[in-house]
Amino acid sequence: MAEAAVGDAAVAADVRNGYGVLYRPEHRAALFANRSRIDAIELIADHWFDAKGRKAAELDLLAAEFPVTLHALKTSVGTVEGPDERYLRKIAAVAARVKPAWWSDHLCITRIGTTNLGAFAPLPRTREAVDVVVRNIRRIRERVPVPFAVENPTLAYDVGGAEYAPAEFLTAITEEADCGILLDLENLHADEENLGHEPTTFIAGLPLERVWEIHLAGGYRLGAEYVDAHQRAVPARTWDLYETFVRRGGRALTILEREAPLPPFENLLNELDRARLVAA
Amino acid sequence: MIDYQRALLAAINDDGTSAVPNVDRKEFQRFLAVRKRKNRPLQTKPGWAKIITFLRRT
Repeated sequence: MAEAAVGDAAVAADVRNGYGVLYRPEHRAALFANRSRIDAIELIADHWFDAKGRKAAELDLLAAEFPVTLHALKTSVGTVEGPDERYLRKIAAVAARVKPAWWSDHLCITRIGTTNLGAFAPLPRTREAVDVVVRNIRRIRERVPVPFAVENPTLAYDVGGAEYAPAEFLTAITEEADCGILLDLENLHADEENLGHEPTTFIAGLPLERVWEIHLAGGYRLGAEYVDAHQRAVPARTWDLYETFVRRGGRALTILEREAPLPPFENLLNELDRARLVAA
Repeated sequence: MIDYQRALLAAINDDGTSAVPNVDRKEFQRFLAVRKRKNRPLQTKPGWAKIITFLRRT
């Protein structure tokens, strides 16, 4: 397997050039029936903790059949007291089983002390926060010996007193921690709708060689809010951002995130074909 | 960061009555709304809800 010389992570170049989906069991049969059109799948690590019996067998089958990346939800890379050791052990166990190309989680706080916040709380874009996250990612990489990438989450609010622009903040963290970026273009779209953040400036400010993975998804408007719901087809604005990323020379594993209610799998395949066309 | 985390936790616990320094209150309400949406308990089937309501009345 070829490797890209990015940071200290040996990131599989052939996976980085692929197109795939976030795995949903409802689409299992369709996924295998269309194996030739799926280059890789993303698994939510949290869904496979302590998998036994049929679930473990399903996990083994998926990992044997597809190149895999893992995506996690509760690492809480921004928590001052550091990531939960038990959580990291569970991630490491899943990773040892499926041998992912890399794993990822969101640049946010999801836990304070023993309290699970139940949502992604934004970080202040300060030097202090960079130091906290870099320290945490170093510990994460000691505990889970797999390349790690951070994802830009949807921001519910901006914390004032920022010392970095949004892209500068993510760049400083990934350069200092020597990790990858999972760039969620629909999250950039949501931040544009909700907070007026300019997404093309964000993309232009990133070290694109560190972007290992792209998330594409579709949300909807609920009153004054744009909801990052993963329940709609990828909207035109997010396709524009994908084109911007590609035109600037970005190449990354493109993953479609879709949650229930799920459309026919053919719809997702058509969206993947569109992504391939944009990148051609 | 410690101060931010403490303020965040307090505001979550009292449903946004406390302020988080440097955070707009209206924007913070969006965070609370996201939190509620993501952690919504599983809905009881409407049929069962009606039956339970009926049983409680009787």
